[in-house]
Amino acid sequence: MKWLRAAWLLATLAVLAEGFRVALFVVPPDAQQGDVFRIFFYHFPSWIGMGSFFLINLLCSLVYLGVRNRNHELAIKTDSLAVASAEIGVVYCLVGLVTGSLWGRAVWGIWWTWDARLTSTLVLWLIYVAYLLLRRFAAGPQMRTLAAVMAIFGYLDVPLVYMSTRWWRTQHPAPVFGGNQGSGVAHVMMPAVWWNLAGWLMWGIFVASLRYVSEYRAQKAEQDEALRSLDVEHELSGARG
Amino acid sequence: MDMGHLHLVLAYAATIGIHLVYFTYVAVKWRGAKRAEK
Repeated sequence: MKWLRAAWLLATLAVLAEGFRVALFVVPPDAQQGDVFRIFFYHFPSWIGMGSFFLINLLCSLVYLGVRNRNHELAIKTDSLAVASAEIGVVYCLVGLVTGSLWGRAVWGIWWTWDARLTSTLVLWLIYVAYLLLRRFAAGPQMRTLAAVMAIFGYLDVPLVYMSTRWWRTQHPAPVFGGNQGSGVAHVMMPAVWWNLAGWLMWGIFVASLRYVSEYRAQKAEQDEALRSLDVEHELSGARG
Repeated sequence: MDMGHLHLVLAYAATIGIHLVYFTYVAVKWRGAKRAEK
């Protein structure tokens, strides 16, 4: 496992380095925006990463709610993966907001505007930050159940974010992929998109796997401690009886 | 450096920086969990 992790990290760093090189030094500048368009190669993978990891969080939360009283081992695993995926999703979302703001300032002349796309994305980020705060400052199985329910409601904002540019008039342009006719990136730019998408997703998987293991270990230790306390209580009541 | 290039550099630096900060947090958690196991 240790070797697999090290190999994965090495491969990830190599792909990220290649993505960086292709994005900055290989693909040509955009015809309209010039070099500032290269922000897209880091901006776009952040949203794909965010959507993917929040989806994992949703699936884990659903499974957790289904098995929490029947299969404790699976419940711990899914809950740990839910935490790990929510955290990395929040990180991706923050990166997307920051890179988007920097890009917006250069292209639109403004750091931020309260249009439907940007506002719904900020709300999404805040929902998942609240989810993580709930997990941080409360404890016990009720907290995990509540967090899982919150994650399900929180995910409802993801399709809203995606569709916001179609449903409302926004400053933010239509989706680059799967958008209207004429949307998309020039063919010559695609290597930079693919390398960075692969690199940042590999990085997310690497970091989330580390976080999953540490969360799983912590929850397992917590469970073992609770079981030990129960055993001691049983022994004491037996001695009294 | 003009405005566009400055924003490009800032965006790349922010992306890498945010990921590194979070990675440091994860690494600390990882080491803590490993130490607790021993």
